[in-house]
Amino acid sequence: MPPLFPLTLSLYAVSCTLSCVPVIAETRFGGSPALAAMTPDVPSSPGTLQRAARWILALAFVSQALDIAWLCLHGRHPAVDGHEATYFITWLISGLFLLLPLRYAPSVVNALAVPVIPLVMVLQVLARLSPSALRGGALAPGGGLSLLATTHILCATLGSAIFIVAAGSSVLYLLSERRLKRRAPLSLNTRRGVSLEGLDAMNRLCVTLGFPVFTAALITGTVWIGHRSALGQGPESATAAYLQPQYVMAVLTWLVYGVLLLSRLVAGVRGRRAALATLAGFLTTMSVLMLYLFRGRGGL
Amino acid sequence: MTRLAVIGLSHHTAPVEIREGVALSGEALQAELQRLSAAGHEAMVVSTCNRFELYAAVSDDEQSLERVESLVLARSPQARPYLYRHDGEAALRHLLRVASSLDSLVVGEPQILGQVKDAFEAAQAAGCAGPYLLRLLPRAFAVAKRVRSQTAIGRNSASVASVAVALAGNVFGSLRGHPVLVVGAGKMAELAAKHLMQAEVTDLRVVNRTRARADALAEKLGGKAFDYWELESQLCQAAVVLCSTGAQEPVLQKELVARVMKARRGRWLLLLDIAVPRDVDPKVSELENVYLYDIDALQTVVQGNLKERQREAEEAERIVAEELREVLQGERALGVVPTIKLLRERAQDAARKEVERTLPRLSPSATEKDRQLLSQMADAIVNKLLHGPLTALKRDAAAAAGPSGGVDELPPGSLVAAVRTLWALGEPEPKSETKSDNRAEPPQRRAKG
Repeated sequence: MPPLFPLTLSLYAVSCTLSCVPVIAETRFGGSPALAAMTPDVPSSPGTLQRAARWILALAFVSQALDIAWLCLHGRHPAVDGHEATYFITWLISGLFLLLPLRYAPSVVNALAVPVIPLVMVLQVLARLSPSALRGGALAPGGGLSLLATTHILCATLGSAIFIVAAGSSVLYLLSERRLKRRAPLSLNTRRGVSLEGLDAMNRLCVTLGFPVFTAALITGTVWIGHRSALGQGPESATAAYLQPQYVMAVLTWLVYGVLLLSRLVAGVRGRRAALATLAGFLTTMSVLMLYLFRGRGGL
Repeated sequence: MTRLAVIGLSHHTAPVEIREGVALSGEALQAELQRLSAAGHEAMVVSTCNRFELYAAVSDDEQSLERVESLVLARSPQARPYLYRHDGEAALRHLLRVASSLDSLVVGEPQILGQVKDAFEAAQAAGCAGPYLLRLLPRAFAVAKRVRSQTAIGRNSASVASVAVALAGNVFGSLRGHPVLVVGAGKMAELAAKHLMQAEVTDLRVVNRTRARADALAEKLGGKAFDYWELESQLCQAAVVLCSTGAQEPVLQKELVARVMKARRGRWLLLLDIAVPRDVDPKVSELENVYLYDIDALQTVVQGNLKERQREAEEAERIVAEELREVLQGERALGVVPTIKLLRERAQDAARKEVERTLPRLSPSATEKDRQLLSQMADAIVNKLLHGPLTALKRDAAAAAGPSGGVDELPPGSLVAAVRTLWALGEPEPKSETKSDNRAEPPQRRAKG
């Protein structure tokens, strides 16, 4: 386990808590009375908490970067197996969160952090502490990876990170839309600068960016599997290799996002349907990640 | 000692007919303030549609309060049963609550702070605002700002029009660049559209069965008018639709809106139906990416928001109480200033006299430098001797208005009284701050937006 992992995880937890407080406090205004009763009073203005959350997230990002550097020095670079790739994904997501305020209002990013950062933490724990992770070990025999495999893993990692952010915006969209349809008292959106149109635009941007990256990952993965089968590594036949659950789920993920992107471009699909499709894609993305994580050595 | 008094009436105590009778604005207000100024009053008049209040700096005698009351009654004798009067701490609390919008008809409404500021500026312009109000009012404004920034009292929309604007914000972020379509050209449509126009609406369109009325409304609001047969095509382009026709049957049926949504390729549509009977078929809300709010739904949101404001008002009251304690402490500390000044003058005067008497006896050839050295020594002795008593006096004055005791709870025989007796300082002179010759120069009137 990298030496700074406990610190990194703690910083994420603090940042996540600080992000949650203003959002939950907002929910008090017209939210469920039970939740409101459980919510402590906000000690200071939401803006202060948002800034504090971002700074602590930046610290977590740096701490995790040092961890990843340490892992690389010990021969466990992000492309070595599913665990390191997942750990790297979570780092990329943090980086995206630090960049998002350049384009979106800090309050939007803060609201988005509420569903996404806890997920990042769960993935980190799974990547570092799952039984297969604790067993450890490099993927490729001899510890070496071809350029093809490295490209595949990096593209898959980056694509998954972008899809996870897209899923976060979809969750926010569905929650905001539900409030509007139910005619709940206004609170969450107006003052926080999170509009349905803005969230949908963020979703569209993420899927548009993530899809080509994930496509590259699928192509390199397909070629790599064929290459490994030809070398006699992995499953006995190429057909069996292509029928492995993680490959099938990866193709399914690609199809879901592909159909979504096409529907957006051709049929003008947006809003709720796009959000639901993104969440479906997120589920398949997570299943691919989980399969890699829990299959451990030789998972790829 | 100078203190604040307020005499007036508000929506809490008086019906609108009475409030109308005493309300002042424009030149009449200026004339009244100048009359107050000429009579030597340090005062300010807050006159809005919901309240008429005269704030004045009064001295300890009871007559000064009655004089202020007579000024209000002179405007409208029938207002007597509806008048309230607060004095000292109660008046300060009232001022802080009014400025913080805790005493408003709609708690948390933002206009009142601007109105109190305007009243203060008018008082300054008329030469009515002396040092007491100049010291007090900025503090009241700071308290009001603290209440607004540290509580959510002004956050949730409290009127149908502002809820409509907030709803548009929920869906589109901003109304800038999003077409707003008004269906109907009646009074309600006009009022609601006026509010929308204040919220960055840049593209307003009006559709009405009678084209002439659509033209008139569009001209009044700076929008464009369209024929009724163009309704469907305008619906395809609009982001927000405000319906307020007198039709007995729904104007926007589900089938029509479904057709429109198909043509819009699912772009979000916000329908605000403020008509009774309703203009939009309730089934329309079942359509995807369509958000329909009828008048009841809008009122429900307003009521929910008002409840939240009431909850926040409790926190705001706590802030006001905390700030009031600090203001009172400051006032009490200022109250001890004349005694401190007198005590210091008395001691320095005695020291100076002794120096002048001693110097010739010390050395007949004493130079100016010797005299200066002796004076400095005497002053230093005075300062060292007085340091302890003066610090104790200030601490005593601040503690008297602290949490353990209010301004009216100052125990008899306090340190100030003791010092005055021990040093034979006599009764404190009336404070100069209420004298008319000590008024602040009238400032430039703030430009109205």
